[in-house]
Amino acid sequence: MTAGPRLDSARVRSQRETHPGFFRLELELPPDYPQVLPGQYLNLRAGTPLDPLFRRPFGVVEFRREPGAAVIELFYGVVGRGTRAMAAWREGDMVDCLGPLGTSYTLDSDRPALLVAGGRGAAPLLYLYRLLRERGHGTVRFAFGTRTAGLLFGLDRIAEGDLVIATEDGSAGERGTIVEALERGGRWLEDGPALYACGPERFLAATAALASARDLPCQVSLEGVYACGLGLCRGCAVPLRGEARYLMQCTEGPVIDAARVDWERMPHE
Amino acid sequence: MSNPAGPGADLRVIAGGLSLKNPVLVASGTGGYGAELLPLLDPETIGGVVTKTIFAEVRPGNPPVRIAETPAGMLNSIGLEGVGIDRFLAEKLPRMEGMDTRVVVSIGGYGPDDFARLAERLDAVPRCDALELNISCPNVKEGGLDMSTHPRLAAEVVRAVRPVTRKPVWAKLTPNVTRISDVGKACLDAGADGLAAINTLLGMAVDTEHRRPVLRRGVGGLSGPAIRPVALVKCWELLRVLSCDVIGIGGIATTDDALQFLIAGCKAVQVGTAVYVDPGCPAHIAAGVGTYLEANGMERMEDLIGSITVDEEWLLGPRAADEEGGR
Repeated sequence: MTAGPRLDSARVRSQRETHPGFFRLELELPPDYPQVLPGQYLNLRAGTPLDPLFRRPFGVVEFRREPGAAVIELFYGVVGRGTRAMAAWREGDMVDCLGPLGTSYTLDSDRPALLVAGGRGAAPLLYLYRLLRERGHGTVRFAFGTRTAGLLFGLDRIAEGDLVIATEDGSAGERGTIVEALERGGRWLEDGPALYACGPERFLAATAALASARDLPCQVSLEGVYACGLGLCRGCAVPLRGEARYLMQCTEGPVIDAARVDWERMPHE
Repeated sequence: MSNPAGPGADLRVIAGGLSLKNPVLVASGTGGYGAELLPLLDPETIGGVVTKTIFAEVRPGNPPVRIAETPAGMLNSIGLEGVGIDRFLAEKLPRMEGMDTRVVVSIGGYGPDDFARLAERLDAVPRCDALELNISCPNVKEGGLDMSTHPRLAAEVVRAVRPVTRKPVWAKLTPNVTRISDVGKACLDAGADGLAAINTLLGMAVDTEHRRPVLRRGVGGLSGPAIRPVALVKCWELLRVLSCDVIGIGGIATTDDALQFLIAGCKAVQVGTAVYVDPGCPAHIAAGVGTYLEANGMERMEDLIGSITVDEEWLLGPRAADEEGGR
C-alpha cells in the first residue's frame, strides 16, 4: 500500500490542449513520491490562495518514475473556475499538490476485466488498463463513451481489439451511451467480467444497474469536489444501501463497490 | 508548556481560563478529533485542537449534498455528523494522549441537560482540557440547535454546565443576531470563561441548472475567508462591550488574518476552513505570529493582544461597557 498523503510542490512539465477545453497535464514530483494507484487522486490547488477555495481532485492517467522525478499525467476538462485557472498553467509553474489520496481499484484476478469509462472518467482507467496488461491479466476490455468523438482521449494506449467506443452524437463508434452499447452487444458481458467504472454519477448508476442485473462485480470511482480530501470536513457523504451512516467519498472512496451505494439517495447531478 | 517559538518571542497566552503554548487552535469540525491532522499538521506545533462537536449519541449527519464552494468560502450543512461520546472517549481522544497541545472538546445537545451530562462526564477525563459549548450550529433540524440566537437559551446551557465541571468553558456564539454582545453577556453572567466567536453565517446557494438549492437542506453555514471581516467586527463588539476573553474564529487563513484578531484584542484564534485547503497553515500562522512579535520588538503576547489604537472621537460601532451605563 501507499504511504499517507503529503503536501508537495509539483512542477508543471507540460500542458497541452487536446481538444477545445480539454487538457493533458504532466506534473513532476520528487523521485521518492509514493506510488499512486489507479483510482487514487491528487488534490491540486488551482487558483489564488483564497478563490476558488477548494483544491481540485484528479485521478491519474499515468504514473511513472524517471531519473530525478516521479511523473504524473492528468487529463481534465475546463468546467469551472478551478479548471479555468489550471488551463493557464505553463511549463515550469509550481503547483501545490496534496496526495496521493483515496482508494484504488481492487483487482479481481479470476475474472476478465471490463473497464467502463464515461467521458473524462477514462483517466484512471487508462492507467488501470496499462497495469492490467503489463501484469498479463487474461482478458482486458475498455468500453469508452463520450458525448462526441473529440472528447475521446488516450485511445493510442489501448489495443484495438480491446476497445469499444460509443458517442452520444454518433461521431465515433456506436451511437448512444456506452452502457447501451454494452447491453446491445452483450458479448462483453457474457464471460462474467468484473467491471471497473469511472465517470459522472448518472453514468455510474447506469453501469451499476447493468452489473447488478447480471450479477457481476462492479467497482465505481465516484466524481466529486472535496473541501479537504482528508475526511475532515465530512462533506462528501455517500449514502449506503441499508446503512444509516454515510461513506466519506474522499477517504473511503473514490473507488467503492457499486453494490454498496444507495443510488436512489445519491444527489444525481 | 514549552515555547515552540524557541528563545525568541514568548507566545504563551491564557484564553478563557485555558493556558496555551501559542494562540492558534484548530477550529471545531475542521480537524476531526485531533490526531487525524497528522502527519500534515503536528498538533504539538499549535496551541490546541477543538474537536468536532460530540453528542451523546452517534449522528450520521445530513444527506448529500452537504457542501458547496462559494466565493472565497464554502457552505456546509454537515449536520453534526459524529461518533458519539462513547466512541470518542474509547477511540478518538486516546490518540491525543501524551501530545503537548491542548484538547478543547466541543460538545452539543438538544437542551441544557444534554450539555450538562456530557460536561459532567468529560470533567473526569484528564485529556479534556476545556469545553467549547456548540450552541450555535445552524445545520441541525431537531428543535433548532441555534440556542445562541437568544440570550436566555444560551445562558441556560452555560448555567447547566457550569456547576458540573471545573474545566474552562467557552461558549461558541452565532453571528446570526443583531447584537452578539447581548448573547455574550448572558453567557458570561452564567459562568462562561470565554466566548468563541463566530460560528458560521447562514447562507444559501441555488443550482441554476436544476433550479433547486445546492444543499439538500436548502441552507447551510458560510465559512472561509469571505466571512473574516464579519467575524472580526463581531469579536470587536464582544471585546468593546464586554471586555472579556474572546477566542476569534472566522475566515482566518494567514498570519496577517490572525494578527488582526489578536491586535483587536482576541486572546487566541481558531483556524477552520483554511485547514481543509492547507492542513499545515495553523502551524505556519503560529510561527508567523512569533516572527511578527520579534520584528516589532514585542516580548510576549500581552504586548500584541489588544494593541489596536482607535480614534474614539470618530469611531463607529459598539462602545465600551462603562460608557453604556454599567451594562
